[in-house]
Parts: sequence; structure tokens; C-alpha cells
Amino acid sequence: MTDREIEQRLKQAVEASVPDVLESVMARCDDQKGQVIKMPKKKNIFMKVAAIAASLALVLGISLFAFSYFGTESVATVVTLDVNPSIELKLDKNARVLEANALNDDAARVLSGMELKDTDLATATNAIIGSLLKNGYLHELANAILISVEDEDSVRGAQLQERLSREVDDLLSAASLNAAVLSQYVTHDVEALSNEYEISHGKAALIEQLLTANPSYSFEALAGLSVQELSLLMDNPKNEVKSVSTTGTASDSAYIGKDKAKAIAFEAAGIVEADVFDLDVDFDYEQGILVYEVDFDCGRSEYEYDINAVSGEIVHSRVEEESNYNGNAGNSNESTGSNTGTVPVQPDTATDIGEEKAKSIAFAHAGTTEAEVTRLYVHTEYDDGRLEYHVDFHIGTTEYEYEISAATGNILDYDMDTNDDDYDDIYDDDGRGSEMQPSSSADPATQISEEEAKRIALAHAGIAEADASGLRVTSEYDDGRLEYQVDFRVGSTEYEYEILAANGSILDYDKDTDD
Amino acid sequence: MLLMTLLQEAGSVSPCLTDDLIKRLATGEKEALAELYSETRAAVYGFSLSIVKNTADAEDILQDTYLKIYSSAGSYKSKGNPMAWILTITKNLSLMKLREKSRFQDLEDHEWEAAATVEAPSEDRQLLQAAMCILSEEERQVILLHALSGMKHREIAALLDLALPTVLSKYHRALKKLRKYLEGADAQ
Repeated sequence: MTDREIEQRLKQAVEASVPDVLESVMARCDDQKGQVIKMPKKKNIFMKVAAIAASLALVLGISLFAFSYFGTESVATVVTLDVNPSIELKLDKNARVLEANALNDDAARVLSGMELKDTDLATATNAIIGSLLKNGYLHELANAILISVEDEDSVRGAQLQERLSREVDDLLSAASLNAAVLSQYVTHDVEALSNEYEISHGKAALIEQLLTANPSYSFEALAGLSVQELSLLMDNPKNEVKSVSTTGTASDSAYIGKDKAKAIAFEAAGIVEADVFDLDVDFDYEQGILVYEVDFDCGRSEYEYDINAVSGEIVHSRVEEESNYNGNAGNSNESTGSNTGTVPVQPDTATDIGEEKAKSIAFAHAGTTEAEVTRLYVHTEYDDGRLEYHVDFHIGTTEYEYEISAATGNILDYDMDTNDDDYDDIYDDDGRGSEMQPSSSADPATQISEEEAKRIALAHAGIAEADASGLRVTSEYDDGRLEYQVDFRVGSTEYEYEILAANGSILDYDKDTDD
Repeated sequence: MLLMTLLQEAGSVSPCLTDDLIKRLATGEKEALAELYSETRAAVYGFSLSIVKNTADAEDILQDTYLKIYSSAGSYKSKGNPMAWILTITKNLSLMKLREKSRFQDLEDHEWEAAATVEAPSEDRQLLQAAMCILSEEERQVILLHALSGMKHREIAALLDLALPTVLSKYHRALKKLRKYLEGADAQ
């Protein structure tokens, strides 16, 4: 279920349940105004026709991209240049500049003081590249530029694309900059995407192509990346984008480099490069940051590490061992790689703790016993070829969920929900807990600070502050009570806490290990 | 009206069109109100519901919003975000309604059922109900606004008087909670 689908469903639900109050509103409007103003019939029809005509024009504008965009001006071609600054040039059929627009603040800086109208494309390009270099938007570490061409005439458009790429390439070489020049010919309407994410048409088109190649990314995430970063992502073979041609390579000197990334991965795995095979190192975008993805096999295991390209921190790791599945003494096993999704016929009792043990681990962690819980539900699930026990139960109105590895008994994931929202009103006698205003019983003496909330969360998770990354504390009122939300990460595990400000009690906590 | 349906199905409400309608309304043209109502009522109702959390009040606010739009259309100044103007009216009316009430009412099951004609498939309705219950105040407001009003995060931030990173964070948390809810619902 994608984010868009979830939103769409919410939208449908609301739309279907909106009461129809229009008549009532209209009636009350009449009362308000005191008198219905009757327009003379002729005028009425005229206005109706005018309204319809205006609306039709709008529809035409949307569906006939070229006409609405290029309109009545003699704009023949639109070129956008993206680095971080995003600059749009509208050209007439002789490639003279009709308009030069800055599409973001950085671009405004680049274009300031330049009068590009009526210049020819070569002059304008020269000036813009010069300004980009001078203002420090293009340099050794940030050296990728995207040239996008939109033209009703595809032949002319393709020619311009080629010509511009060469010119820009020459200009940058002259400035002794080894740059990546990406160019593309934009053939379809990206206006809506471009507007929604507030990026140029060119960048929107590029991201769209990337998403087609790799749907696991989100538009929102990629829209925030520079052309440099997008270019590095495109180098990854799994993200092949054919419609964009690239000369040169984007610099990755701002990052730790592939060799360092490999070294970090091998160290974590405790093996040496000589013992590995099928090694691959590529850029990828995970959990909001640019990472090196280091994949390799060693022995009968598969390793995968995602390493923060700037800090070298291991963001995610996964090791899949074949050795767990030796139930049917290795004969006709079809899968040659790891056994993802294959269900062993005979679970190996030596590597399965059993349901009873799983339950007791969960109860122990929650500080309770089986006798005290209600709505107990235990089931098993295979995740990436690993057997897990899921133990769910309630204590009073609090819900607990545990995911426990069947092989090792480790708690992979746990969640506790006090479910106040559902039960508050039913069990609340005095009504104070459910007011919108801050409860009058909040005692300033026991109210905790952000610092304390942070400490409580870390202590509960058994993590030292120094080991936590991405530590963030926010506060908000929920049902009239002030709450702190504390989020942090340790390696590939994410923690989230909700703590009541009035007395520091933990309302909700979540631990998520990425596998 | 066909055009309206087309635009609505396209998923986005064109700000130019809305802007235009408000201006026409200012000249006293009541037909514009009908069109405006049709285009924006889901966003107004959904947003109001996310604040007052009961359907009866949300319906009152739905009406009051359009009355206020009608009476203030004359003073509307086009700034490129008519939706924000409309929803600010909704927000203010909703908050006033809350202050009037001495006791905040949660969205109880039977109240929800009482909502007029519910044509949405029951899974969608359940999702909406879940959104009302499991999300926090701000998460609920942010996600409903984003789903219904066509406003961008930055505009939502301005409307709710929150910092942009806060809005983004709440938005993602809300989606995460809803996705988790849906995965749980599927498993059952």
C-alpha cells in the first residue's frame, strides 16, 4: 500500500460521508443578504457562457501541453539547467533567449545582475556557467549539471540538446573541472509533478525516470537531492535510466569513497576481501540518506551493508546464512542462493526455541506472566527465510506486540500501546483527562523537561546517548496532555518513545529492527 | 459540473479556479458558491472533523464556513493560496466550537455510524475511523489536509502554525501508523 493509496482512501471516505448542506447554506445566504439579487436574464446567460468558455480553455490548457505552455509568445524551446540552482530559458525558434527565469533562490543569486533577454543561447550559457562557477555552485565536489530540453519540434530539440551538452562540457573543461553533464529531451508533461514538489521540469522528468527504474524510491525523497546525488544514484546498475545521456562522471569526493565503504563492511563482517566473491559497491538512497551499498558473498552466506556515504556509519546490514536450513540433508535443493521464502520441511529443533519459550521471553520483557494477560495471540511467520514468533497480548487496556527470533530467542521488534484514545472516555470518571485545554492537574513540580524525557527513553531502551544517532525530541499536545516524542536510531534499529510530560511515564514505545 | 468532476478526478483542485470562484462570489454571484462548495467541501469537512472529532459539529462548521466565505468574499485578496484562506476560516470556526464545549467528545462508534449517507466501502470508512483514533491531533490534521486540500506541506505548516520539519515528521509518522494498521487489518 503506497502512501498515495492510503491518502486516496482517506479522501474517498471523507468525500462519501460529507453531509450535503448546500441548500441550507444557500437559504441562509439569502437571509443574510436580505434579498435575492435577480440578475437580468441576458446577463445571466452571458456569464454562464463566459464561465464555461473559461473552464474549457483551462481544460484545453491542461491537455494540450504544448499549446498552453508555449502559448501566444513565440517560445519554441524551453531549456532548464539544474545543479542545485534551477534556471529556465525560453528560446524562440532561432535559439535566442526570450526569457530567463530563476526557479529557486539559488538560481536567483546566479542570475542576478545578468540581462539575458535577446542574447543567443551560446552567450547565455556561457554567462550562466560562469556565474555558477563563480558563485561556487559548480566545483570539484559538486560537479553535475542537468540540461533538459523541451521542444514541440523533436528534431530541433534533439539538436539543441546535443549542442548544449557539448558547449557546457567544453566550458567546464576550460575551467579545469571534470564534470558530469547529464542531458535529456523531455517529451511529456511533468507540469503537475514539477509544481507539487517545486522543482524544475527537467529535474521532475529525471526523477520520474529514476522511479520507473527503481520504484522503491519515493518522489518526495529524490526531489530534495541535488543533480550530483541523483547522478551518483544513476550509476547504480539497478537504476539504469536510458533517456538521460551522461558525459563524464559525477564526483564522489564529498563522500568517503567506495574503498573505504568496502573496508567498513568487511570489518563489520569480520572477513577479508580475498575471501569474498560477487562483490558490488554502488550508491543508493535509503532511509533519507545517500549510502554505499556493499554486497558480497562469502562461504555460503550473503552479506549486504548500507553505509552512510558521508559518515561511514552502517545504516543497515543483513546477513543471510544458508546453514540454518539443513533439515533435509542437502539433496535436491533447487535454490542456488539463499533460501529466502523456502520453507524447510523439518524445522530443526536445535534452532527453534518453540512457542512456549517465545511466550515466556515476551512476558518476561513486559514484566508480566501468562496468567495476567488477556487476548493472547501467538503465531509464526517467515521473514527473509527466518522463522519468527509473533506474540501479541493485552494487559488491561495496554497492547503489547513482540517479534521473537525462533532460532535465537532474540527480541527483534516490540511495541507497546497504551491505547488511551480508544478507552479514555469510557473508563474516565472525572472527565479531566479528556479536555482539550491542558489539564489543570498538571503539577509543574513533577512535569519533566525535554532533557529528562530523552533520558527516560534512552534508559528504557538500555542505550547510552553517545550510541544513539538521529536523536530528536519534539513535544505536542495530545488529547489535552503535553507529550514528548523521542526518536533515535542505533545501527539498523529505530526507537520511538512517547512520554507524558506531566510525570515522565512512558505512554508508547516502538522498536523496529530493519531486516 | 462535468468539468468539476474531471478536475476532481484528476486529483487536484486548481488554485486558479478556486481563486476565480471566490472573486465571482464577491460580486454576488451565488452560482459561484455552489461550485466552490462542490469543489472544496470534502477538504473543509475533513479538516473540521479532524479538529472537532464529531460529525454533528463538523457539519455545523461546514455550513458556517461557506456562510463566512460568502460574507467575506469581498475582502478576499488573491495571494495564490485560496485553499489556505478557506481552511483558515474552517480552523477558526472549529477552534471556537471546541472552546464553547466544556467537555471534549471523542469520536464514538455510534456517532460515526450516524453520519448521513456513507457510500464509501466499509474498509475506507474503517481506515478513516482508525485515523481518528490512532493518530495524534496534529498527525490527523496534517494527513487529512494533505489528502484532501491539495495544499503542500509548507502551506499546511503555515495554516496549522507549525514548523515545516514538524509537519513532515508528523505526516510520515501518520502514514507509518496507518500503514501498520492496514497491515494488521489485512492479516486478520
